[in-house]
Amino acid sequence: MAPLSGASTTVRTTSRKPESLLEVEGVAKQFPLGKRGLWDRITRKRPKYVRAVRDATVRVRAGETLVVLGESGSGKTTLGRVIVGLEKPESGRVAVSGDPVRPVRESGATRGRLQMVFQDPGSSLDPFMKVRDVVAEPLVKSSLSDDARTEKVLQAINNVGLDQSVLDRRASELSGGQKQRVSVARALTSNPEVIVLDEPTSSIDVSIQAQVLNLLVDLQKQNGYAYVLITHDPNVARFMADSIAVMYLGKIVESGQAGQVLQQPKHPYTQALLAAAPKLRDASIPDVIKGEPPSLINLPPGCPYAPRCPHAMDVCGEREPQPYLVEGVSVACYLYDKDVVSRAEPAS
Amino acid sequence: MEVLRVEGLTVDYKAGGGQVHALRNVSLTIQEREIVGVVGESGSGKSTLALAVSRLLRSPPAIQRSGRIVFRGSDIAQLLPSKIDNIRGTGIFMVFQDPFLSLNPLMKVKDQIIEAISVRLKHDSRRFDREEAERGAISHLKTVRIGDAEDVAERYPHQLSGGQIQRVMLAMALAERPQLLIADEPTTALDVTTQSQILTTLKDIVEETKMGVLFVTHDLAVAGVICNQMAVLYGGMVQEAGPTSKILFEPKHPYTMGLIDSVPSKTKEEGPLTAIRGSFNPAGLEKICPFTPRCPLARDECRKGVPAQNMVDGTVVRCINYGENYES
Repeated sequence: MAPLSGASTTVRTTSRKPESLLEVEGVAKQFPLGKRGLWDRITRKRPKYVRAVRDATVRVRAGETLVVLGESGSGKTTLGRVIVGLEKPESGRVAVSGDPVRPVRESGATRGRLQMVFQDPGSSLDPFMKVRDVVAEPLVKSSLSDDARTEKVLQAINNVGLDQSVLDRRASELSGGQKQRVSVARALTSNPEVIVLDEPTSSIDVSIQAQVLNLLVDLQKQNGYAYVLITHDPNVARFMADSIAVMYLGKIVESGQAGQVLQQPKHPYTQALLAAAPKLRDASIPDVIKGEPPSLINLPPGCPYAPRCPHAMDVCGEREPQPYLVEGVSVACYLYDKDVVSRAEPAS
Repeated sequence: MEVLRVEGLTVDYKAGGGQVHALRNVSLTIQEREIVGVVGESGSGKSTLALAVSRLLRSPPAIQRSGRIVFRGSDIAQLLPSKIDNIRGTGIFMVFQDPFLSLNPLMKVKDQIIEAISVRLKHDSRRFDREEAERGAISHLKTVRIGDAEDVAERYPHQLSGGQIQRVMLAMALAERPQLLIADEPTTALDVTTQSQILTTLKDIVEETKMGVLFVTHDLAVAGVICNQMAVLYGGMVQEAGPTSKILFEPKHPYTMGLIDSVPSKTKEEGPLTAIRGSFNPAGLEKICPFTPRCPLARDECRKGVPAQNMVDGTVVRCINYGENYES
């Protein structure tokens, strides 16, 4: 018995510390607000910033999906763009199998290893380009021969379940579902390891959404892609996710294994978000969170969710909580700090 | 009391040389205090229906071929444009999907609600008092649960969030007290947390004013939460209609079943989602059941004609599996 149980422990420890394919560590990205004119510079007026992403840390293994769940303005799309190198973060690092991801134009070692599928295929595909050329575009800088390139394009089109007859049509002639398949095909041609999917099904109908989600899962099983799927839809998150990071106003407030986060949400915001989504065959009007998110420009001090949080304590409005590890899930909330809670209780 | 009755409404769009059926023989009724959901995908005709009922369809290209739109006992489809203005606002009020297109960008929120109040007063031949209207505007903003109502009232639409604008629209509806509210995807552009707030507010307003609501949405779950009755549109036709719980728990039409199954309700480890095959393409569907090319139960009889409506267990179903009757 003893050696057996010893063996199983080792297996568990190795699976607990797996090799992550994509590593995102302490990433922050802010955007200057408006233009800073000459007068502003003379008077040394301090520039204003929108702090889109703050201190984001996530890891994704090959063949697995990280879902970034959040509402508009949560910074989920900016995080996705930083991951593929479309935005340069102010601080923090992104790496694929240890190679740092650089901005797209100077990408070098990571070129083609990260791809992004954008939200609205209607505007991310050139309406006048033939599908054949759209899908071949990631190969423009490669040294492949024409034949090899055509072969790759055909393969990608087959993989996403489209007929070869679409190759000579233009993106504008395709239906919404077909367009999104073409965007996925375009992401596949450079043999990526990581694919960031930004709301890939939010602009298409439900009946087509199921087809596209099934396709994404199949492609991942065959090729071991690591997905970062950005969505606001808890149903899509449940279907796709191995792990989940919930974002609110630029911060990851809760992250961990998908089942844990979705079934026993720990952060009050995650709880409210999941409760607010209407459920099919449940006629009760979802729980209501009060208020709306504050502006990203003048973020309140402390926890960004404190102004709307039903459990807010004094400390929440003063200092921003650091993540606590609770049952394997990382939660940035003082409710999981025993000292804070015990100190707050007598006051209330 | 019946607020709206649509009977056999057929609307075509002129496109190129030919014509496309946008709505075919659509019938539905809305009672006082009732929220009727019109659910469908893009191209199903749901927005055309909302525009037709509010008489906002642009013609050409739209042509109303046949049918009646009975509001307050008279067919508004036949009304002259000059008479329509008497109905709009106080009779039929619309809330659209894109909140940023629905308010006047040059007017303060307060003044837009006051205008709505004055329209109502004029309609009732009552005297307009500016101060009283101002107080009314603030109180309506409070009813739709806008925080800092006094402050928001002084702002312009571009200074508001999408959720706040939809609330202002509901406040205007409160001011106009219409008998019928037409809401075309009113929460689609909003976050889920804001959406749940707006849906609650809408339900409260319906209780208070007794108005009927035509609620157009692509989201079955939203319709399930807010609607008493539902009509599922596909290819411009009502494929299935009845009480919401019947439609969601005992769907009869293969399209409704497919739509419900398409909503992701499991994890990928539990197997692939049930998807409806193909996509909607109106070509060649004029004389058959429009769902035939995508239907898992399709057979030769589906191509014999357009199925007629069958009454099955309290719901209306257009499918030959419930009786081989054809309309044309």
